[in-house]
Amino acid sequence: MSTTETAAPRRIDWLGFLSRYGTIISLVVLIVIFSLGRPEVFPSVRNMFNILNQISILGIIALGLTVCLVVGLFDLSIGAMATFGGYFAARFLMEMDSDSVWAVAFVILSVLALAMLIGMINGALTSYLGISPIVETLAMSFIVTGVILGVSGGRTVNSSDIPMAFQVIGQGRIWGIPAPVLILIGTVFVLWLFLEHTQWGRNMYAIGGNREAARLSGISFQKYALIAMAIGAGCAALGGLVAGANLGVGRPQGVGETYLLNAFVAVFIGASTLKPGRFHVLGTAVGVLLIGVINNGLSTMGVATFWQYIVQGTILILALISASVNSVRRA
Amino acid sequence: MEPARVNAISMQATTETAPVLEVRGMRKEFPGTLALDDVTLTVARGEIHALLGENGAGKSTLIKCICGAYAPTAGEVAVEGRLVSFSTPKGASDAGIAVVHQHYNLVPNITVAENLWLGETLPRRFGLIDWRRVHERARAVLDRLGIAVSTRAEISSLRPDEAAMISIAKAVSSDARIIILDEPTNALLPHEVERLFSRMRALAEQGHSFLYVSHRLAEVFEIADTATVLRDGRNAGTFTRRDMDRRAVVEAIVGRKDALAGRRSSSSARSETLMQVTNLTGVRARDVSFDLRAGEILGIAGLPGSGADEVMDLLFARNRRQAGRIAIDGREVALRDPAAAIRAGLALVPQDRLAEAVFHAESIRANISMPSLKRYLRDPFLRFINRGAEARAAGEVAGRMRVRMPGIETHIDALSGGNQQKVVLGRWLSTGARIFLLNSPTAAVDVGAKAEIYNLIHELAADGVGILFASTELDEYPLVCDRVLVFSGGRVVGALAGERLTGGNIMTLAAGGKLGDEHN
Amino acid sequence: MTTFAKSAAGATLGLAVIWAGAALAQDKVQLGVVSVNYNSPSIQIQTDAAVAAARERGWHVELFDGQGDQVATNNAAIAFIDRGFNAIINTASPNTQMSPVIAYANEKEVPFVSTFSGLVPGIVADIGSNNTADAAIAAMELVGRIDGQGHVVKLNWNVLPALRERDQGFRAVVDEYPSIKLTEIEVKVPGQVDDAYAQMTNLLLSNDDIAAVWVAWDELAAPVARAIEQAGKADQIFVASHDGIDEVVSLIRDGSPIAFTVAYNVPHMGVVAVDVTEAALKGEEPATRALTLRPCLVTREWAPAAGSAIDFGSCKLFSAD
Repeated sequence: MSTTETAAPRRIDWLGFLSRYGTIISLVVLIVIFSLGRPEVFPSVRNMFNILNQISILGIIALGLTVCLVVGLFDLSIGAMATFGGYFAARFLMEMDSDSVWAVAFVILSVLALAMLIGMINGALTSYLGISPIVETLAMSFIVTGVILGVSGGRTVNSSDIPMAFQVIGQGRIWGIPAPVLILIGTVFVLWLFLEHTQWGRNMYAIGGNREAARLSGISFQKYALIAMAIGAGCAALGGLVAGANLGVGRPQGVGETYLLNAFVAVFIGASTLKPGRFHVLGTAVGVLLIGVINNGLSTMGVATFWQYIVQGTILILALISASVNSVRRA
Repeated sequence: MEPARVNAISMQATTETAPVLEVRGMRKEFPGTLALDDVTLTVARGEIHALLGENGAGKSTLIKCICGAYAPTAGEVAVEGRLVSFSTPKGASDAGIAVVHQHYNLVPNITVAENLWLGETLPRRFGLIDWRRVHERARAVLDRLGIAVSTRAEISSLRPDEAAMISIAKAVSSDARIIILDEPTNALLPHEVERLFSRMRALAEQGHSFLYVSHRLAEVFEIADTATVLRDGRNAGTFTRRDMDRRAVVEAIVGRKDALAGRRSSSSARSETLMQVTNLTGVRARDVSFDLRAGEILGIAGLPGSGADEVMDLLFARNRRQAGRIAIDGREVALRDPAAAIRAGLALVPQDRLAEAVFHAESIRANISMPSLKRYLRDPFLRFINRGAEARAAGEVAGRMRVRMPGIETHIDALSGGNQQKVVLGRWLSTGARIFLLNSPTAAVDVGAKAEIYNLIHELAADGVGILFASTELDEYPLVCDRVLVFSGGRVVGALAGERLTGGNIMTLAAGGKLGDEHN
Repeated sequence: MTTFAKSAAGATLGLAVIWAGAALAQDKVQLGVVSVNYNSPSIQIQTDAAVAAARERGWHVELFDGQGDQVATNNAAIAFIDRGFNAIINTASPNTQMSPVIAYANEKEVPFVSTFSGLVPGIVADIGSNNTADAAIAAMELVGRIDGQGHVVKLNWNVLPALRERDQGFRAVVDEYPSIKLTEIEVKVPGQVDDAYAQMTNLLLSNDDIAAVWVAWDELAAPVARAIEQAGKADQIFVASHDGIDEVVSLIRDGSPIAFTVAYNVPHMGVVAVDVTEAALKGEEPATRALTLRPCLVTREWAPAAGSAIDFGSCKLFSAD
């Protein structure tokens, strides 16, 4: 037995290495390729900020989804919640017709609180009643989409009706760094602390790893399902809100759909990074970065759009293979 | 399956004298490790041959080499005197080797007849499946083995011993010369094991041969004609029925003289009552009342369904109790959910370690500290964890539990079953638990680790902790417990202690019988 | 009135005796309006206009929103016909995908009128725009403003037939000018708004010489303009677009990089559809089956004042008109 323990890992070390660092290696390789391809454009500081700016919204949404998946809950309502955040922030500000910072702060906080409340309803329905989270959140996304369409009548809130104090969130810069990037970095930092360094996060991982064992350790699934879904919905709404502020519009549709799928892609790429088989904040950040680099790099190289889809799909499959290689090894 | 049967009978006549299965010089290397080294094994016709050894001794590697799942590095396998060589399980079954795994390789939601025919072409009539013939022939197979199960029953509706027999029947009907049974009794109740064994004996008398892999020594002594012991990938002894002495076999398995302590030598039970349970009632358990004293190890024994297996889950509030009161230190406690039970000083080690206790893909540190995290928080609001304090405390626990590990940050999945169990037990040392509910803490743990776990349990009791103990192996109760409550039909039917505490007496009471010397 | 009488008589003879009886008693025209994607803003506007115009005439109108499901849309239209409705108006659901409905409507002699859905046999008329011609107009205006040379970016989604027609019209003009360097971008749908913004930002980073951008529909105009403004190039680059939705018209008026958009009289399309339907119920066929409404070039000079609608009666097709 002792010989097996020491000798076996050496044999499959390179597989383990690839499954841990495969996504980071492909990220570096892509950056090198794009930098060689367009040396005057791609590796510039300006473009790096540009990439971060472009992934910030996806990143914020995917980070919230990471928390849900840590607890083992699929949240398909994040797309609708992103639209919700973007539309209602713009709509409330239009109704209030005030350019004061306080009004903007008030509206942002209320919209996020509303979103988290919806997330808590999701959490309550799935955990207390035991409804499948996939179906429940899908149903909730229909309801939210319906409410938005009903309230908006399908009409977009235009930038002239949205105060600059709000648009700054999407367009402003602090120390030369775009505001969305700062919000993304803040979200990464807060959720990283939350998941890795607090009892809240540890208990969430416990539930996701073995719900029954967690219950027998005195951890309430219901309570953490509520918290996780609230964070997921809140992040989604925050992402949609930044998207709205960035473009200066409140769109009642067409905001969340793409982010929904890409967020899942990013989180699953992340779950095969550094800690294979585990959803975690830094992995998600790498996944989001990978998507951003692919899209930006290929478009600066002038590669047709369909290639972006193909490359992104290929990377995801490779990530899933490396993750499954790891789980096969463990079994 | 019919034409194959005719062949089989004619061939049996020609190869009467050669051993049914002969393994010679089997060697299997994995990169960096030698799993099997010159292993020899011979199974005679009509023999039930036990293959014994600790986890990691090479039993499953050997079986995988025999049945074609692994390619051996060196060595040969002969079936009825003819060398066979194959690289797939299909090749092995064609050569007459059938393996019945723990879960009996049956498809649960289809009928017995369909399972018996699985993998073969069903008879057809007018292009449609001729179900009448399917069932007729399945019936014939079952009748030949004396199995009284409807061919139309779904596997999932059968008792585990019936499922095991169907699986064996499938092997017999596919013309297997040797049937390898890999831990077939894990899911069986004692009386079901008894039924399975009587069928196996009947089949052996008809000339069928079995290679029987098991952890359960008592069963091996009961059923096996011959036993081969493996240790560290080598032959460590072969015993025939005549020289099969329990102590000698255990020594061959473990390679140490002091593997099994005898009876629990001295009780550490104190006088004060720790927990008082009155009229506890659940789905099966009825009006269960008992006292647990500090330092006492109280066994809860009974056949599955007797209510014994429900008591711990009721106490820990896993299942809702319908009636009953629980008092700790004389004060009644509500215990509405597991969290409340933990706060009241209870600790549970559930039966299914992998499904209910281990946090997979987490470190040993995280697995130990999970129920006691609040001790290592830097603040009560944001609840930041003081990692240093957590790691130190977890390290102390792992040391005290004698967990063999590369380090406290190692993933728990990398540990052996016994060491995982020590981690699961150890996590309750930091919660201030004073009442431990241990449900089969030695299940799927090798012999060496079992002895260690017994010692840990005794040490806990010596510290004044009260312990409820349950096991699927009745022989464990006298080794571990001071006193045992035996359940039957949902009620406590007897309490055994001292000389009267034996596996046999527990079995007698649990099966609804009376003890001969019982007068009170 | 013959069609109506025939279909009413047919229905009376059919199974739905009671229903048809009630319909006759009411003596009201029953109009079924179907739309595969009612929630799209401009489709909603033309549909609502059609519904309002029909109700003004005292008709009974029912609206079906397919929510993107063409099969459900077709089933709904067939159900309307089965229930004895007198006419079907289809707003912006591709007629090529509705051939079973059109065949059934012909069989039951129910007029089938559509807006923005393409010309196919069997329909009374399709009211829309000549996408190819309109894109050629926009392209000529654009080429004129850059003196026939320079770097031009085109953003489109060549999946939707109408957008492909616009693409062809645009290319037909621009290809005539060898000094124009054309960069073609295919945006991702859904997510087109965010993608147009991201792609434009990337292009601006890697190209200093862009003179003009043509986007195939207005939804892309605002994010592209935003990207240009953020790159600090609002003075060098202008945007040309199509549709004339309120948001873009107000951006043009307020002096954003969007120079002009080819606007359509979207609500009027719905009204015309009802006019054509009414005529068809009287047995009158329109002069042509492809009714194209005159578009309008909205520039900063010709943008309507805030709050007022575009005056399609008086506006021009070229800024030099």
